[in-house]
Amino acid sequence: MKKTINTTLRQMHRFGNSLSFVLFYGLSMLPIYADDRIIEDPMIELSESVYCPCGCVRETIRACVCGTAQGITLEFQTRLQSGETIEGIREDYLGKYGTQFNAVMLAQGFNIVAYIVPFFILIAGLGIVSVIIARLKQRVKGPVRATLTKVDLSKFNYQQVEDELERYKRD
Amino acid sequence: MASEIGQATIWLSAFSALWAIGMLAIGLRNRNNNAIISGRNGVVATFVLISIAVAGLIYGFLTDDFSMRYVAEGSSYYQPVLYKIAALWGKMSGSLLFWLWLIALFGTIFVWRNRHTKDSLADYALIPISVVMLFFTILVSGLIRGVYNPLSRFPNGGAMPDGAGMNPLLQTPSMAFHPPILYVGFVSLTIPFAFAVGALISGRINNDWIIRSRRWTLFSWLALTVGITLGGNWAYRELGWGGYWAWDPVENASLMPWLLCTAYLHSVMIQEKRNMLKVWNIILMVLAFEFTILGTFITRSGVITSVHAFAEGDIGVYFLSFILLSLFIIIGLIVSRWEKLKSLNWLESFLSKESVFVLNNWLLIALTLIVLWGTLWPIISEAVTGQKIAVPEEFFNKTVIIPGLMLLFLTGVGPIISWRKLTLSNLKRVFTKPIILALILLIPTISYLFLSGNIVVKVRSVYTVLCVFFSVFVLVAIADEFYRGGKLRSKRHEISLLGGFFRLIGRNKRRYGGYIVHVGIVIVYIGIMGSKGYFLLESKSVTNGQSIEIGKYQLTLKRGFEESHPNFELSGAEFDIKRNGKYIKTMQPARGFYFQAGQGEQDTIESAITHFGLNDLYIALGPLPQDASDYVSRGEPVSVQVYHNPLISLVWVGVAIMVVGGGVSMFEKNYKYNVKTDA
Repeated sequence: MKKTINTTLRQMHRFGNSLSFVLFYGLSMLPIYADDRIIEDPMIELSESVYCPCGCVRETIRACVCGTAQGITLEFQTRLQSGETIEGIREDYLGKYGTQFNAVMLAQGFNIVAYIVPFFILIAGLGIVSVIIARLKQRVKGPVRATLTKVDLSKFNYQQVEDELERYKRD
Repeated sequence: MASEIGQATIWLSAFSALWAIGMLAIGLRNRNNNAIISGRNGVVATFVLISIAVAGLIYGFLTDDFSMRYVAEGSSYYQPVLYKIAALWGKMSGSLLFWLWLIALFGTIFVWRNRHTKDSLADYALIPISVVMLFFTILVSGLIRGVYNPLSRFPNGGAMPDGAGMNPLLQTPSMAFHPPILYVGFVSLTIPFAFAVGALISGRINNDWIIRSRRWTLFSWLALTVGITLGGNWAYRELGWGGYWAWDPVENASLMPWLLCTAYLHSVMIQEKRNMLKVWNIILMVLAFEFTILGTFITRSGVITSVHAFAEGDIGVYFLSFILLSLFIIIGLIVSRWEKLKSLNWLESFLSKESVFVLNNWLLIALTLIVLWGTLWPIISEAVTGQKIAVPEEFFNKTVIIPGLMLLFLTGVGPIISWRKLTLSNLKRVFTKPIILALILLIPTISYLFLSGNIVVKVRSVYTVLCVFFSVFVLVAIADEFYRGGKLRSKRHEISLLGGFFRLIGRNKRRYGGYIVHVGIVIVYIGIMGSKGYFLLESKSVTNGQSIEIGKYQLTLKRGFEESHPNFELSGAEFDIKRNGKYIKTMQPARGFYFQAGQGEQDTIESAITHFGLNDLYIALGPLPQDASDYVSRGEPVSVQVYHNPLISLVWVGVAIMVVGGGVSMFEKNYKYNVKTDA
């Protein structure tokens, strides 16, 4: 019976490891496919793609309720109606106010590093944690255990152990 | 006179902090009890001196002494008393003085609480506390370029007649409480940090320091939780963009210590139970403290632009130097104590509570690093490409969601998995029910996503499904823990099930308080999922009688209105709200016009928020003249932003539950540590 349980647990460990691998690594890949919301209205797409320059807390033109945003919204509407492209208007806007007002950070050019690093942190971190857990666990299995137990015991205050045993017997 | 006395006490406090460091070092080295007591008194004296300085500054605010530069720049004659006091931490040097006062206060409480202990750990811990006090005393002394002494007067006897006044955006009750509570959270982390450093200096690397700093850590965590949430609530109510979290650098700066503190609160349990991760716990606590200083560096150095930041002068260099120097010293201490920091036990299984806690720590650290990375990315990018950029909210949302969901899952696994090794019986007993119920509840979720058409939005739906599955799993797992424990208690003591629950919590406040926090976290997750993932926004200009539709609500502009207040006037528009054609309520969003000398008129957004169950209807007005009633009746257009924020109330409810759980956990009477002799 004990053997069966051990075998089952061993299998579960293997299964757990595979599951963790699939879960963690698989989930890590998800954002690459993140298409977020599908924006059909070009005005919304444009006004959500740039920040308002009024000094607000990084609010897009669509979210900001200041007079500046109102004026820019009207300008965007007029230019879109006259047939200008979203990209063209955005470029003009960022040229006028500065690239720090760009509210879209695509995973392109140098920005790709920004997107890769978080997943590297996650995956490398998982690797480090796996190694730590494995090393912590190996110590129990290996022949080192006896030596370590000796070291371990020497670190205890023997008197304290004796006292605790005594108290345990009394209770 | 208050100014002169205050300035003198700040200088004197620098000497008393230095005295404390010197006397404690001498006393501990030579085992001289008198020197140690003198060092402790130095800490108390610093507190008294800084309290006098703070009282002097408050006196300046209350008496409108506008010859004091800080008072003139942060207050005005018209400012209500609450905001005159709140102006104390409204700008750079005053906020640093307030920070210093809090360290001195906590240092004094620390001295008082440890007055009868005969061991040296507390005295060793007083050294880093005094060093931090000294550092902040230097910052507010007026020696650093760009940071003047908050009690100093204008040069050459100048004054500002009525004061410039506090930024009207900050004149709200939540802003009067949000910064000080956040500061309390940041500053109180100095105590567990000091315990960790004290343990390293003294070589007493056992569990003493974690047991004795446990309440302080929980207190910091609670204050940070409340402070961060109040900040989010302020942003939601005052900024008019319908959200509560924008991943602004300063918001991030407050979140990072919270994440590290949360990681520490978990990993410390492994040390207590299994005598493992000693070095890791010290590193975590040191990092949590250093990140509070890093946050201050981000806010005040000007290295990153943020709406919250008040960058002036050379202060950033000092903060950075302090962080690097302290890290250098602590790394040296860790290396010198390496042998004592080794684990005494080892992991028995991958599937155990210890492993889950290690994974939890990894995720929390990963989240911290990701947030730090996103916060610093504009600097890195500019250094490489030469282009200034801002990291949008979307970047953070995309990158934190995966570790966030994994963490949610572990929130349920952690409490139910057994220590040492997960056995087959434990697996069956505790995991089956939550998993089955979570799977069952996925059916209505997926059905809703199909019916509402949201299933076409692929990735968001996957996140929603995972969030619902994990949330239900956690809630059922924790409810089952409570039920089984409560039932057992009720049987044993022959009391009701409810009585059994209370007895259960009362007997192990730390454990069950922690579970309550986990329930709160799950509720916050659901709130974030609804409000961030499924909000609706309509922007439109309407004239009198015209309507806006959002979801099942129709808003009709009815009239304009004005309202007078002592230091500002409201000018707004009234909307009739109908749901499915049936009138339910009137809402009154407005703009606030503050009249203050030297500041002219500044209008603020006074959003109207109505809760419909767990959802909010949120209206913010665009620019509006002060005569709104005439303006609207003339048929002029009013620019309106309307948000429908589903489940947003759960964010606030969840945090309230977390605070209750944290409070319960904090009141655990497990302070069994009784020091009688020096180690």
